[in-house]
Amino acid sequence: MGSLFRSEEMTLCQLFLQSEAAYACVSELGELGLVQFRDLNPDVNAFQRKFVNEVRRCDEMERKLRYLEKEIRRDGIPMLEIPGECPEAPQPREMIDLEATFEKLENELREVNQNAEALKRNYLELTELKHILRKTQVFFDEMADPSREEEQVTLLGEEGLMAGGQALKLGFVAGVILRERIPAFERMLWRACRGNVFLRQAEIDTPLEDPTSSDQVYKSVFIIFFQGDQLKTRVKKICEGFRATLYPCPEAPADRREMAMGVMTRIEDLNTVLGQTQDHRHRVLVAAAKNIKNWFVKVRKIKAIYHTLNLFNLDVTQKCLIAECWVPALDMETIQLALRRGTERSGSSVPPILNRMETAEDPPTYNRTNKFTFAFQNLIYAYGVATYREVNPAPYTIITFPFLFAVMFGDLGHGALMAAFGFWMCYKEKPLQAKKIDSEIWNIFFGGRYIILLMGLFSMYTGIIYNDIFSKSLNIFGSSWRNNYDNSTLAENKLLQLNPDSNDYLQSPYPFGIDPVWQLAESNKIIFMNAYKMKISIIIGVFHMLFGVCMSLWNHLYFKRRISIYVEFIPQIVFLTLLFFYMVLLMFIKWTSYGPTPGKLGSNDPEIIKTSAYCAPSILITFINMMLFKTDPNTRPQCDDVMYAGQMGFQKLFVIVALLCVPIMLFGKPYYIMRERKQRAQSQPLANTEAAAENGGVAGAIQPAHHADEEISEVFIHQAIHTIEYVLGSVSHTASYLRLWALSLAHAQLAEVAWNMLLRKGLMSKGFQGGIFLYVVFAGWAAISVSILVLMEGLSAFLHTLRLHWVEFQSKFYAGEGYLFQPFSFEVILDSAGQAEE
Amino acid sequence: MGASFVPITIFTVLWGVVGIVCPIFAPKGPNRGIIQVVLMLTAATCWLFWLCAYMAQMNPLIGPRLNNETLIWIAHTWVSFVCTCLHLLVRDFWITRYLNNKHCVTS
Repeated sequence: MGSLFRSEEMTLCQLFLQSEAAYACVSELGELGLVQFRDLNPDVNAFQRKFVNEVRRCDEMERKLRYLEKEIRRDGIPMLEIPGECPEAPQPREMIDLEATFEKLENELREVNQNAEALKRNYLELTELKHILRKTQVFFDEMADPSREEEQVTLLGEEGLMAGGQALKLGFVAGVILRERIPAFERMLWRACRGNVFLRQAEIDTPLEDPTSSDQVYKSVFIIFFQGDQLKTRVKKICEGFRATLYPCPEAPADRREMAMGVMTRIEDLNTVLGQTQDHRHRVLVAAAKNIKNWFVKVRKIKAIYHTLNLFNLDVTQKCLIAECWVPALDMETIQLALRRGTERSGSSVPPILNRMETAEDPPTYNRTNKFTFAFQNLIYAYGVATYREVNPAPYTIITFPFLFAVMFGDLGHGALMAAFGFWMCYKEKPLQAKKIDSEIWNIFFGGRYIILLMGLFSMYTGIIYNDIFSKSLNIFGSSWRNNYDNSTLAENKLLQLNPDSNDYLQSPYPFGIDPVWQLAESNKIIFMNAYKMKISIIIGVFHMLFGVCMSLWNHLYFKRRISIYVEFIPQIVFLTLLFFYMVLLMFIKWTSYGPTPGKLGSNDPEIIKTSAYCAPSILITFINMMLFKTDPNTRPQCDDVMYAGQMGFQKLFVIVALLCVPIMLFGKPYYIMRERKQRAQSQPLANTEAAAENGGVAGAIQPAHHADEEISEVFIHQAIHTIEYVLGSVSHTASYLRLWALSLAHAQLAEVAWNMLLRKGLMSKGFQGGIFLYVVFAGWAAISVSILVLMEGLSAFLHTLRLHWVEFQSKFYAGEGYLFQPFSFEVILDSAGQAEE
Repeated sequence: MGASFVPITIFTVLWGVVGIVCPIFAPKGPNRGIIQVVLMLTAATCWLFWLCAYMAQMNPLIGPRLNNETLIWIAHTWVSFVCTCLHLLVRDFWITRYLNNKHCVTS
């Protein structure tokens, strides 16, 4: 049998590796990904292990690579994907080469960056100066303008003019400041200098690049006029405080012009130098971008190997390393082969030794999945990892999950949409996988593509059975219902009910699914559909639970728990069968034995009335009465009290036997354990004395058995919880399956509302305006159909299905107390490293 | 009672083939077990679901209550797709007469 039914058999192995060959062997095992190493020095802290140095060197290399990557990304250079196969882990001696390469690259890049930064700073200063010279020119021109003389007058006030009659010379500073700081700067200047300075500012239109962070910033040029040295120092301090850069600005216009010329030539020179530096940087990065992914893989592989080697134990002679690992029993040969390859590669002559070990420990759970079963296995793991070698529900979930989903989601149209989406994802699997889309929601959908496809297909099937396509029905085989009313009746009555006990009904049902006429019967469709859907929910639920209980038989058989079969499985299945499966049988009896009798339609014969719709009993009331040992006399005249002869007797017997199963479940196992212990206690003294005689008092073999024994009170409590859970569970779980009905009802109703409220309005409108209206309305209807009915309803049905599997199905047999097999595999390590990066 | 032989046989045999015959011929390989389980469960669930729908309608306890306009429309237009196709394909007199008696043409 395939391993998906149970987890793989695992063996604990001891591995002796020669020191020289260890690296190559571990590298081969990493490529294989089938071995889980155990930490043999858990008490040694991470800094004291043998290969700390190597790990640290790898960390350093990785840091350098990340730096390179960051630079490459900043320049927007595309990084080449690794062509073809992943590179193998390099030999340890290659590490030095790699280190040297990275060192060289990093140094070069840092140097280039430093140079570029210095040049850029220089460039910035010059550009700012250029702007200052250009903008201040306007201010100076204004000042020199004789017609604006009064400005100076107003600035200096009366006193200025009175002081000697000659025009006072104003001092000024010019600089550049961040634009958003201007208002605060202005206010500060005004307050600190009491309004005695004059600030002019102009915005620099083009953004300037900040050399340290390489952001684009907007700046403004300002010039401040003031008088006297005291104010000058004050102004300068404020400028410093606001991080404005001040530039010397000559007073004479001729000097300014000359300076501007100088600045322009220097800027041009700088530009060429800067261009060359950038080119060089680009060349270095492009060269690095070709290899960087490759290098990342290599470094990560080396690091992973040394990490693994750190888990190993050193032999006393220091000649060989000892490892312990979990290995799937079936793969021993492949692992041996890989080890041999590793030894050959390292050129060592001593072959590694792989020994099986006996252990009392629980091995890890390992299910080999493929891309199809993987998603289903994950649904199970999300609840709990199976105990070692326990029955795995995943293979059954492949069908039961989409089926239960489809019972709730049954609609041919919505199902087809979902199936089309799932099919597209499966069909375009490879290209979509290669795209590596980061969106989390997309990845959830894509991971579950096979689930979505199957859910869609099953929804289409149940949709056909429900005869529901966007809340309309298909009349493929011809309805079984006919109109026999004459024209006058049809004209007079608004609503008319067809009578199954007449020629209105052809006496043989629509062959596949629900009759299309029900979709049209707006006034009593729900009554019919509810009765039908509630019944199938319970029928499906009881079968599902019975299936779950049968799975537990497999577990008991496999683990050779014979006693559990007698005191757990048999009472459980009897309990469920006699009460709930019996209820299912009643439903089938009701379906077959009450209704119109062909050939005697509308007859008043008392025998025929007894089997007519008039006498059909309620299954729910019958079931409740059965549990209460009550016989309700039938209130309707002419009807029988029972559905079949001897019903009362059978029902009483069933309930009593079912109730008798409860104490068996409750006390059976504890009683058995107690008896077994007593027997052992009787035979033990004998064994003890024998053992004592043989090896001097210590009975080593018997000692461990005692430790495994639980307190008997604990056994009782455990069993009581288990029994109560099962008995109460079977009631509540049966009721819980009614969610199949509830969700399917809700889905059908929502679809109908969407049709009636939107599309119907559009279809009924006339004329060419009606066409336009329909166009708009269709968009709305389609949007609601996809977003609410397919996506949201799909999600809620999915969650309910998940619950039905986790709680109602798996609680019958699944312990889920195992732990996952996590093999040492480069693939996993590289994947997780790649994800952490993003 | 209300059951008719043909549909029950057809669908039971159909799902029986899927669930019992197909698993025997499942391709050999590591996934054989999974394929068999998938086929059997598909057949079991789908057959059960169809059966329930069929049996729930075998002996209807109530009839549909319809709008009079809907009833008139049904009386005039509802000839099943399958019957129409049969009419078109097989112009044989006997079949037409048989169908007339049985199912297709109403008032």
